[in-house]
Amino acid sequence: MVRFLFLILLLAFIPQAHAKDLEYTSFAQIPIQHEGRIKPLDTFAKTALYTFSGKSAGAEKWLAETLFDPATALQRPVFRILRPQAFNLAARKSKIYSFAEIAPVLQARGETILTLGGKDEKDWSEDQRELMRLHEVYILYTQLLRSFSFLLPLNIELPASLAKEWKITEEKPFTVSEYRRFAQKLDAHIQAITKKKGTDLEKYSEEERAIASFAMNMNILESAGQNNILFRIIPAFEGQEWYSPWALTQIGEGSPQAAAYLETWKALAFAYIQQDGAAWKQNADKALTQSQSFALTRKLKLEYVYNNFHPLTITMVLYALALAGFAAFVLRDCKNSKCLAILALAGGCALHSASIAARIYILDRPPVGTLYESILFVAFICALIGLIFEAIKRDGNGILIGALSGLLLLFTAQGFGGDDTMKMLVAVLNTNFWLTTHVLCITTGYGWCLITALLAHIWLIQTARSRDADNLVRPIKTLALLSLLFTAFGTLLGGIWADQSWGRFWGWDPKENGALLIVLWLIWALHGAISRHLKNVWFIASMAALSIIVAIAWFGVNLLSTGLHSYGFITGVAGALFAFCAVEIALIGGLVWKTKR
Amino acid sequence: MGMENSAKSTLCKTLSKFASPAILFYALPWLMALLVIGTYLQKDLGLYTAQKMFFGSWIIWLGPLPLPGGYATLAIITVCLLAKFLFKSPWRAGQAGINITHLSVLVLLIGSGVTAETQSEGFLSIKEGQSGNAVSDYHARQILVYKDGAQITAVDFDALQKGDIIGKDILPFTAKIESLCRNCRPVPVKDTTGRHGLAEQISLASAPEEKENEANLSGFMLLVNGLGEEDGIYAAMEEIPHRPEIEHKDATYNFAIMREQHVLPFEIELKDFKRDLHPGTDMARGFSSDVIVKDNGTEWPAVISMNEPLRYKGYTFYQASFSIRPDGEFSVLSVVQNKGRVFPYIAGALLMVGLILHIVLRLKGCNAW
Amino acid sequence: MEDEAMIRNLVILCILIILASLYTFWSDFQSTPKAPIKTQQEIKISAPAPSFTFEDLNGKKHDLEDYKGKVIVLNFWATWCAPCVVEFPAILKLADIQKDNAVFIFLSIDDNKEEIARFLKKHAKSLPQNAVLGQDIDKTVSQDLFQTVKVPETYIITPDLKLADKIVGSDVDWTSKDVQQKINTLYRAKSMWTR
Repeated sequence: MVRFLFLILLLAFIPQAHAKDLEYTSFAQIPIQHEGRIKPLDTFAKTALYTFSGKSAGAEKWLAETLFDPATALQRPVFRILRPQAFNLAARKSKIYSFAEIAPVLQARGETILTLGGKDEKDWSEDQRELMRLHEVYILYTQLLRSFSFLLPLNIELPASLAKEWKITEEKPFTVSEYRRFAQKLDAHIQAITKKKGTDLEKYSEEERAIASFAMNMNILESAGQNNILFRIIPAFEGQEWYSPWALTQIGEGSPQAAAYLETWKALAFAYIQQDGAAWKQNADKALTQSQSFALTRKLKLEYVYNNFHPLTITMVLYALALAGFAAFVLRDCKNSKCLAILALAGGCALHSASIAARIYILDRPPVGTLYESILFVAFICALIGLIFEAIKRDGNGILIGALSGLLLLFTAQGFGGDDTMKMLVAVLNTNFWLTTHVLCITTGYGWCLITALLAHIWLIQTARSRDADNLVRPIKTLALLSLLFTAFGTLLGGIWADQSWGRFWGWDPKENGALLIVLWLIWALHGAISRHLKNVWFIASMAALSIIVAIAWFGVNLLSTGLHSYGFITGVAGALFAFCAVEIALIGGLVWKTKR
Repeated sequence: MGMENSAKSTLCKTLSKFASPAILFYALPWLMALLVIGTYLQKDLGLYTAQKMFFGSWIIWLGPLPLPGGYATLAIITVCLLAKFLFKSPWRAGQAGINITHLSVLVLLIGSGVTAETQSEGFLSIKEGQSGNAVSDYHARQILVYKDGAQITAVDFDALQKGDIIGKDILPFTAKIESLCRNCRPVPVKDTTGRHGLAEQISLASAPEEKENEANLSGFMLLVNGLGEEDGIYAAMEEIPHRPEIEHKDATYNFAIMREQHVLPFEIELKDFKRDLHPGTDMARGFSSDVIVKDNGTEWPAVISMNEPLRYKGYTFYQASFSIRPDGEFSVLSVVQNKGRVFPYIAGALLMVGLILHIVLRLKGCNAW
Repeated sequence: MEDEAMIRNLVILCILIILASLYTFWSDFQSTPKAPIKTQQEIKISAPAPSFTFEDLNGKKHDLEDYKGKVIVLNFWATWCAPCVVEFPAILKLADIQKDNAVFIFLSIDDNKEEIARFLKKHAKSLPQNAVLGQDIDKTVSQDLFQTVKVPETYIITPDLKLADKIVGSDVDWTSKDVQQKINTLYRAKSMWTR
């Protein structure tokens, strides 16, 4: 907690700016290395602000303030605390508190944090969990606040003799990096003073005392930069690692290019402090241009557009539009609205595939690595199958199943998207031919299964309403075979990948078993139908129940293998999964019962 | 001749009875139930135990009630499928896809049988700059007894129980197992009377078993009699270099617990172990080992990395993990021998061909299904 | 009829199993291991060196441009920095060996010129022809241009003034074959360009 005092002291020297509206487009595209890849500041800011406050709107502006005007940033509420009363904080509707408010809270609980750190996470209570989370994000925020502290002009008065000797004038702002130039000279001064007068401050002259306290302050400022490694914006002289401005010089990875680049950042910081819009834009543009020599600007730009254009939200709107068109077609028998629905579905599919392609390009890896990404991909496959189905059958069912499944899945994905920071993957899951084909094949299989299940639902509903739906039986059977093809082959590919990677073809791992469960279910239902052990209604019902099997294999298995880190999140998913299964069983059971009557 | 024929036809008749979809229709739900329960219980039982209990077993005892285990269920399905393929799979138009698909599953099941019988897994831990050829088993452990540095007996650790005597007719004193633990937790002891060596400082208590059996650290405590002053409790545990030592009649006896070892017919030397991180993080992007294979005076350089194993003489070496210890970097390679490894590849190709053919035939209207 | 179909299917199954077994045994007795062999990395030349001037102890001005055409070894150091003092004679030795191919610039970040002179008097009676010693007043070269805060740091610059390498600290065997080879390679590469 001594660190906090340092920080307050440090920030006391930095003048406060008065924020106006600046242009953040170029700034947001400047590259940073974070979580193993190069990304635009836009993504970094959004991820960071989301970690602190659970929201990501206005992230660039917040980041600029935190970096360049830390004194103001201290007072800005950004920490979302779910149980403020547990920390004796005044209740507040937004539940968002500032750094200055939470710092004393953590300071008072320093001992508790230390003891908790030594204990197993499993034994923490909800309040303790929240305390530790807060402590963790607090440290992150501290790092951010100090990222540029050595470049920012100091609001500090130099002892007159030093200012004269070092030729520091009012116009030339004094910074920690400027101080480094004279560090040895200052040391010499201090040594001379102590040699002459010892360490007793009482004996010092006023000027000498000023020099001593100045030297102490500068030492504090320098030490504040120790271990400041979060804000990696400059590539090393050699190798792929990037460094934060502080670390770069401390590790000796500086270079003439880095010096020129950092000079631009310094100008950017000054422009921010003076709220000089023109200089700000000019320097942000310059930094972006300079970064071209070490980062792929095209990629950064694409990611910026992806972040701000929200293609997946537009895709959802298009799918919703397709559904509305379908409804109009069924209820009003309006041919034009059917055309509109097909167009919307096709447009949605195109945008959806473009989004996935953009992610592949940005991340430089296959599209499915995380749970969130698998939902995006399955949603796309479902919409695409729906579109193809419509092209063949032309009865409107394709629009319904494609748009509905696409929309529902994208909606589900949003629940998992909060932590989609487009992560890199750990070693085992890294790009590999067999893994990629396996994952794509099995997720495509999920897509076929869901479409089959949806069509089976339609048959059940129609039959329950005593409408003739027998023209759907043959397509359901074909779709079931296609589901079997993809899931069975995908599962086998999973085994082959495992054999290639660590030598066991099948290890009864939960994920493998989940995929196998779907395959066994499909084999069982198909053989049951052929051998007439399953009557038509029951066969269709078992196809409808594929949705439950897929949900269990897909999400349920993830619940089994996830650690306790995202405890609350996981209980939420478990609840939703349970509710989904219960509703589906009730729905299918009810429909079967009704058709039997 | 006639006898033979009739015996053959009885066999055929019996076997062809198995070609019934009814068996499959009831066997599959049972397999699915095993799969779900076995997977769910992995969390509590650990992967190894759950797998052995549900999937790798012939019979599961539910109290006094014997139920078919994973192996038994799969065996029934295999026989059923074999009968179906041999007796009820004519190559008619429209049937070809189904036949090929059935064949692929048959190949897969036979392959898994071969794998289950022949697969052996172990690991080889080599220090940078050194060679190794002793593969340790992941699961089986042994207690070894040495006399003046030479091994005189080895006892299977898993078969031992409290009270068993080690080296009954070989040792000139009695060494009785005082306690055993599959996953040990050292507990400090205060009273050191009658305790020797490691046991003077610690006692071994059982800790809950780890999920991965290979992460367990086993150990044992011995009660030694017939030495006089040296009589008492001795302890040994995996990963603790100290070995109980007993001096008796000018000979030195040592006890050690270690994983069962298997010696390769060639050697692997580790030149360099590399860990590649995602830049700017502690997250691994990949591991690799530069090795030299030494066999009969000839040498080859090779790189073993994640997803790129080294295959030689029926052994496959995979980059499994590593450990960085004060005395240097160790690369841990998993070593697998499996005679059934080709079957899944054949099955995969056949499965794809079969199902696609079937779907195409179906869309063309060549069959009702 | 049925028998024929059975035998045909049995044959198909057996052939597959025999083929799989044959392949397994064949690959088990392969005489050379199957695994990829690693490739070597080459030296990458990065950005141009910034141009700068400096004063030697006699007050004479030097420009980096003056040394174009030879490999330049630029060493940032200080008299109060122990590792710098230790590696100084080793670099001088290298300078002596590499008379024809390289020049050596020692830029001191000392504040006091006299201290540098005193140091030189004590440790090196005379500098080799291809070595020059200068002072970086107020660290305008080291800190502002090269981002060198801690000394020693050494840059190796190509004959056409591009940064080829950077060495942080003094953990280098300056007279080793590797360093010599690097300088020779860079020098030879230059003569290829001029030709």
